[in-house]
Amino acid sequence: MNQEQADFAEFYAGSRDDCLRTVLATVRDADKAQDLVAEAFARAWASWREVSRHPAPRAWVVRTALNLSVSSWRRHRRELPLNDHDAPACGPASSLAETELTAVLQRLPARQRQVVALRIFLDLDTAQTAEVLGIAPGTVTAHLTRALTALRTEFAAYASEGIHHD
Amino acid sequence: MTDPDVVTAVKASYAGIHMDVPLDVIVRRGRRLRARRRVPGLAGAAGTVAALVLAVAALVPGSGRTTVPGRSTGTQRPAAWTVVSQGGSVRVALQWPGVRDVAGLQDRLRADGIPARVARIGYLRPPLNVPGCRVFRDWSAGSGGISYALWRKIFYGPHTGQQSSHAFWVYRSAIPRGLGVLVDIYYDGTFGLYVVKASPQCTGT
Repeated sequence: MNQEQADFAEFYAGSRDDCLRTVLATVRDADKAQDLVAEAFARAWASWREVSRHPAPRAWVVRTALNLSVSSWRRHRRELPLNDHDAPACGPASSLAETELTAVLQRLPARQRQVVALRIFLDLDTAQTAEVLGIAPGTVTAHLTRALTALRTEFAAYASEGIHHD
Repeated sequence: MTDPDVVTAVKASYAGIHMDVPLDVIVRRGRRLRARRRVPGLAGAAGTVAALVLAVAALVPGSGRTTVPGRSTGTQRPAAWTVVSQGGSVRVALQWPGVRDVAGLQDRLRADGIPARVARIGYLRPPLNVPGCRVFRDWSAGSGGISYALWRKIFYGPHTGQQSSHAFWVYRSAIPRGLGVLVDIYYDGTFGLYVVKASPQCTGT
């Protein structure tokens, strides 16, 4: 393994779980999130000379994964809707390791989930988060404040329910 | 509960989620991407995972790969799929986003009398590489393949046009004894339809 690949291996080992968690918080499907993040890392490796010099390579990976997800959505949006008789029945959840606690985050609006995930899992600051999401720093702060308020309430309720049931 | 407590709780709630894709799989894929960039004319055409899957599906002419629409899910999770039995055929509609519960779809097809294997394509499992399954990849019936006419009978039946853009059919009675079907699904709803040798390991019978 040459030095370039060794650097990438170290980056992958140290970043993959946090990148997956960040993307999972947005797409809410574990299998899809894993494939998106894997593809984003593959692209990072393909462009490693540039990505390794990026000020926030993990943010680059997450941004790439989210862009891939949006591209996929745009492709499908152009398709015809399902007929009535294809109306969905109640299906089981995906293989997502969905606990009540992860569900708390996933109940937040999409943008709030993204901001929380980028701030908490990737430790990005406000400016970096704004750059990844393509929104103003003030908007990031507003989303984060609302999200933390909602999470505080949800987690407190969860904690008190747990105590009650015990 | 303070903000640091919330951060700790969120981190703890995702602590069990890990990336399973090995480094060498990522590196191999990255090398292929680099190689494509070096070939003029291909760089713009082949960049996405979907393209990879479509290319593989295209190995089998008219393999029925298709996509399904997005739909607002609200707070309820939609079904991953819908199966409707119509006489001798079964119509399967896949939901997007996220084709989930492939095992449930497989069970449902088998319950409808179809020797079936439903598998997800992904980084951990390349297309057509299903453990325990022998997939017929060519149309040369004489050399261990299957004929295109048979493939069409199984997946098209009396239809003459393309399969639906969001669903496919399987004609039960057209499946010869000893054969079964493989449905290969990518996360975005792209799929490929193949004929396989029926076996307990592959199709359950």
